[in-house]
Amino acid sequence: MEKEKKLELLEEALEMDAGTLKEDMVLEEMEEWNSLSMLSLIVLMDEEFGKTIDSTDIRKLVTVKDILDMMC
Amino acid sequence: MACERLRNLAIRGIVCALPENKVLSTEYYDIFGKDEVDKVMASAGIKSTYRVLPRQTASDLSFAAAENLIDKLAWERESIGALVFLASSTDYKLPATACVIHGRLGLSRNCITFDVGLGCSGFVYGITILGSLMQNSSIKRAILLLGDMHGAVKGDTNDELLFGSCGVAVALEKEDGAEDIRYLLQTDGTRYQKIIVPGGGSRHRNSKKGWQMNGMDIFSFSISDVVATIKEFAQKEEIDLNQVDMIALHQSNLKILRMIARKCKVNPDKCPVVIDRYGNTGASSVPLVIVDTLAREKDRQDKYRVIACGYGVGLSWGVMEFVLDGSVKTGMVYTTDYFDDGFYEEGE
Repeated sequence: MEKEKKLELLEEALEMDAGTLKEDMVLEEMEEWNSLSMLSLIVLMDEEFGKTIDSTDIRKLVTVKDILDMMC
Repeated sequence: MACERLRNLAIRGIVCALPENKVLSTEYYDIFGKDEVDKVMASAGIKSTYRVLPRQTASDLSFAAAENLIDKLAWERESIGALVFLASSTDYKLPATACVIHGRLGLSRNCITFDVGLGCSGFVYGITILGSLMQNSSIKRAILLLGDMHGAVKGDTNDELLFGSCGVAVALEKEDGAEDIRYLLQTDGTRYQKIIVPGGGSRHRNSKKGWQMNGMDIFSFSISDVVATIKEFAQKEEIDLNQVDMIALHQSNLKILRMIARKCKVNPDKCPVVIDRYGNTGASSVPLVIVDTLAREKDRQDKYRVIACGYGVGLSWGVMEFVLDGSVKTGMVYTTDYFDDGFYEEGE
């Protein structure tokens, strides 16, 4: 999947405006990165990529790029 | 694992008992702040819960449900051959709470009585345990009690917003030619820490460490493992999930309920939601969905096909299919009663 498409899916999951998400963004510093958006990420990974992720996987994520790398 | 069957067994009735103490989620505004409460309400979908009154326990609720159910069915108490109390909150460390309720109900000495320590998977596990026991004995009638309790508004953690109290009694009876009850039960003990109360048991006997839940992992478990089991069951048993009358899912969280329905490709109308009014009531929640929904379906057909699915602490989960016929007795009772066992101290 193209990087742009992944960013688009992620923006949708995190309820962010299109084009606002950059891959070097640090998750901890993002207002949109909270317990609810983490659940949305679990759903996104499950539905779009058929992957089951849990809190251990999420704790390892530092930047948006880490999420994109997982999206395959 | 293959799906299993219980033969010649019918569910005759289900009664739920709630404490007469309704608490609105908005009553938590002062404790956790409006934003936090609104966020939990929106995500979990809970607008109110029922909480036990001082001294009231899950066993008191189950007892009230059992009294009502036995009356409704006009069962002779002597005819009840087994009683199981399945709950995550027992009255004492010893004896089994089921034995106390056995005495309060005035059941026969010949009645086999014991507790089972499970939670949200309790309905499907309990019916399996009692049904199997009945199939291998001369017991014709049995009662399964399920209960969960949460007390006064304390505000220790915002998890408190999610849970409510309820006690349930389910009546099982042998019936020649009854349609098979089919089930598939699962356990993953490697994830026991995901929902746990570590303190107060034998391992950490001096600890007061209370309820802990890894919400994210339970969410993940619910939408992956639980969904996989429902799909496996439907496929092996050749059940079209959209053709059954009701899919009674454990009411853990609105977001999870919607996801399970979506992933199983079932019409959300098949999966009633009652969590908004009662919260997560643990082992009681599956029968609470059934009773609440049947009360609103006055013109239901004689053979009402139900898929029940409980999942949670253990981790333990399972799915079951059964038919309720038109004569099944259901009801909802509200109670302030509690059992004075003579051990209460002043101010307790």
